[in-house]
Amino acid sequence: MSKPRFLVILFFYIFMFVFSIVRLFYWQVVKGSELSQTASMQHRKSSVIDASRGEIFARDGSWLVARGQVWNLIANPKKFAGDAKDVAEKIVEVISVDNPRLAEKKEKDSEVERIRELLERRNLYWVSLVPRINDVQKEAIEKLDIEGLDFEKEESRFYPEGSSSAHLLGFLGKDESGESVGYFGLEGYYDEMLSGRKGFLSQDADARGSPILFGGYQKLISLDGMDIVTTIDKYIQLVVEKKLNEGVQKYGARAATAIVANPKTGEIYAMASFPSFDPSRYYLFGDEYFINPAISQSFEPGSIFKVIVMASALDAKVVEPDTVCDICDGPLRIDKYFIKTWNNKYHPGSTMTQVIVNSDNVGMSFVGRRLGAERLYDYLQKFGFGVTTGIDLQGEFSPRLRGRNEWREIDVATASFGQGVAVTPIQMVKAVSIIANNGVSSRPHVVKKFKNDQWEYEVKTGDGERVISEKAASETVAMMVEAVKNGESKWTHTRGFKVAGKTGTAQIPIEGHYDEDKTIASFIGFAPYDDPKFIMLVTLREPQSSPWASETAAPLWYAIAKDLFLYFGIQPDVD
Amino acid sequence: MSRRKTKSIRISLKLLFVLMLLLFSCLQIVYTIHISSGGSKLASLEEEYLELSSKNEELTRYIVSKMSLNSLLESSQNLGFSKPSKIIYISESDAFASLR
Repeated sequence: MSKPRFLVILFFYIFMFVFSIVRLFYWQVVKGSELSQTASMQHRKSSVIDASRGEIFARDGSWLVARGQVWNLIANPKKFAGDAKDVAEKIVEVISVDNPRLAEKKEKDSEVERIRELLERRNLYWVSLVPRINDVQKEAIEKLDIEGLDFEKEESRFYPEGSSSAHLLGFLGKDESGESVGYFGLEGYYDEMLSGRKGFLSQDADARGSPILFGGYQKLISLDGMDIVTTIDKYIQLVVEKKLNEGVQKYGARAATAIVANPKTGEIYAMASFPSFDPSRYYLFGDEYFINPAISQSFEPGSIFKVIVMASALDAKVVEPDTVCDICDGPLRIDKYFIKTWNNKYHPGSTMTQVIVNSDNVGMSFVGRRLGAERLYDYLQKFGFGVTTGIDLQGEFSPRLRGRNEWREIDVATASFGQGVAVTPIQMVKAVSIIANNGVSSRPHVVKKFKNDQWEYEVKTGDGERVISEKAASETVAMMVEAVKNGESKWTHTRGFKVAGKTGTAQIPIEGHYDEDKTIASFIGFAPYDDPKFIMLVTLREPQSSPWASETAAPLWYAIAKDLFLYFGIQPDVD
Repeated sequence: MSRRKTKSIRISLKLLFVLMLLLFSCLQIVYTIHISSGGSKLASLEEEYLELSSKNEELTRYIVSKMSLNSLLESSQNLGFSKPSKIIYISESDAFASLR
């Protein structure tokens, strides 16, 4: 070979070598990190690990709320080849069974049109057709064998007792970003605890999506939500709901509330209100149904409030049980107002016990006057009025208590018989529980303990505070016992059972005055009075059959209590 | 003689080197196949776990619905049980028949 030819070939090889080195440098060093990232994205599979939501149990360990599942029907319009309208009609036929939202033909046609329009979006890979279908509906749609349809599983809630305890439990809804969130009741109050924490998994995977052993692997474990064991007694809850609904029908009430609790510990055994809603189908109900009247709606309590004012006066030693009312011979005039009794009957020379038995408004004004505005305010605060009770349910509200220096003489008089002052049912239960529990307060609560697979935590409510003396409490109890035996509701009293209670019929304030016809009828009582196993408040709003609590709320209270006497093993007094 | 010996040792070393290279290559291939099939097994185990988990949840829901107090009350009514309409309380001083 000639020398020039050799040099050309040599030069060519050197050039190719240098060119390769330069290109290798470019791809390996300059573009290295970008290509590495692209490669990583191709074989890195990332996913969120869902955390199961905690369940809610009754006090005996049986389920109130369990984990359920629903399915979201989705479609891949690019893969879908069938007739969109025909498929839409078949889907609507399946989902309209037992669905009040698709009861009418017009609604069905509108739904068919909506689904058809989604299926015809051929440029999309994923559309959501129908959310929250159940297992039965899923199976029926699967049998249609339509290509392009699929299902996404979603955790939901299952309520084995149907719509029972709806206000207590709340419901699981969605927030703006589509994440599950608890609203109202226990689901709302303990949402964070019930939700747990989602995890995350990132690992190398092959082309089929199978993980590559010894490849990249990063995992943040998920934490399932805590389970809640409540103080709710399922039997008592169902009895209360059944009897409350019957009572609403019988007395023609617009609304009703009942609370059953342990006055010593503050444990809530049952809490029910009418009207209510179905937590598994909360989306069919308006927002007004979700508010729990037992903790969020205030009312003027009427005569059931008298026991609180009397207990306060006895504790302050401004009256004794046999103190005589010297103004009880007729209506009492304060400024331009006249205080009258509920039946326009007056009892001159009444003792304090007789004032409670007769539910005498003039007598209570006498007590209020003796107590005075400042002491009345202080005692009402001690009994827990004007502030929330701290019950562990979302949405508790407390009406404002008139300020310490804002009480006129007429305000003291009317408050002493439960008008001109607003309370919530749970505040009344807490306050009267103090009387039932020898003068010591307890915090109302619904949760007994939290638990998961590894550990459990018992909720401690702490020692109660002494609000009134034991003597004042027992004297008030004695008056309440007399009230049920000899008062306006004596005809409903179940003989022999040791019940202490008080009726209350309060007029409803409307636009600055009291309605002549509309009332809130209530009865609050506990049994047995010497060692109470339960305290119960029953409230009926605007009963039509009679405005009086002695003819509506009181008999309803006893109708429920009959079952509770048996359940708690409360025997009638032999004497 | 010694030149021949040196040459044969060199050939043996080269042969050993080639054989070792072949062995490691084969081991690498076997290892890679094993790893990839392991990944596939893991994926199918995960799928099986999800399926069993789902069945477990279904059974739990069945148990929960059967344990419902409302359904127990309904079943008891269907079987002819009813709540007592009258409760009579007797005290020890009352005369009644008892097994002692």
